[in-house]
Amino acid sequence: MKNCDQFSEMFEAYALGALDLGERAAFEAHLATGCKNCAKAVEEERWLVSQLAYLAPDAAPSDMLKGRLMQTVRAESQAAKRNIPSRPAIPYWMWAGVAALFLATIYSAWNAQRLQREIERANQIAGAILQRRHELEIQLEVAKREAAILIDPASVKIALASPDPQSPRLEAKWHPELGIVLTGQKIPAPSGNRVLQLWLIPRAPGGKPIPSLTLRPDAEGKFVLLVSNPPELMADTKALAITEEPAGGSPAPTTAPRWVGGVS
Amino acid sequence: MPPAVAVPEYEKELDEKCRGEKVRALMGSLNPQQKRAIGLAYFEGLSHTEIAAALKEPLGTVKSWIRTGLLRLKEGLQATT
Repeated sequence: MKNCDQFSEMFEAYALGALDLGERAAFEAHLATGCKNCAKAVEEERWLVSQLAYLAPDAAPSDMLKGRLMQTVRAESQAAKRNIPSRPAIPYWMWAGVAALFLATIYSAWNAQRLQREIERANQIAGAILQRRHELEIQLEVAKREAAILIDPASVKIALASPDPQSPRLEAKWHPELGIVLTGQKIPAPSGNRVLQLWLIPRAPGGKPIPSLTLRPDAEGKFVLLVSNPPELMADTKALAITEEPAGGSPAPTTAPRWVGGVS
Repeated sequence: MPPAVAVPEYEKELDEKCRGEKVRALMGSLNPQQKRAIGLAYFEGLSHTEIAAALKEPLGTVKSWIRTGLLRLKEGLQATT
């Protein structure tokens, strides 16, 4: 076999370990093809080389051999030290990537929660502002309507007097379209949770008082009550009356009127 | 320990006791250059090129010394059977 012929002079040197790297690699590549002839020849030459061990008593290892052995051992030891940490199952850069991804995920989750809380807080503030704005708009509308009723010449002024000469008078203005504004100053607050309730006394004979809104004066005894939609037309109302009633008002007066004013 | 290699037929006939003497005698029959080159390869672990450099001899000459020396050793051992 041609391939075997070119290696036939290498058997002894190969078994002896004397082939240079290039020759040895080429021959081992040939052996790796499964050539039985060359493999058998190499086995015989290895036995032959092994017989050289009988020369050993006369041949102590030289300093050169010791040096080469130690150099080889050190090189392999250092290579092993380098290889162990440099070839982990998972490279360090991958662990670093995993750790970075983990931290980024935690940070993102925390940041998302923080943003969500801020959004919720902002929504609450926005809701409160809108609510407050709505209340102010209502108050503004009420104040506008109250002002319109108070200054409009079409409004009818109604003075409500009390049987008690010590009690201050109340004043109401009734606009045929905008409603009634009832104002008072230095009015003593009803006891407990009781309230003052406005009644419309019908002009029709035998008509029962029609209940309207309730109120409580502030700490200074002031109040302004707007009745946007009076339960009765001004033309059909004979008088306005105020009684003291339980909290929430009553469907029919339970006490005698504290103030009464005729509608002219 | 005995080498873990295949043992040729002629080896089985060789008396264990005299094998060492035979090997030493055969090596002694080689010329000094052959003994030196084989010794450097076997005991020092040098390659052909390294031996040539150590002995300041041509590479081909060193290869020839080693091969012919080992062939003479093999022939000598075979002749004992």
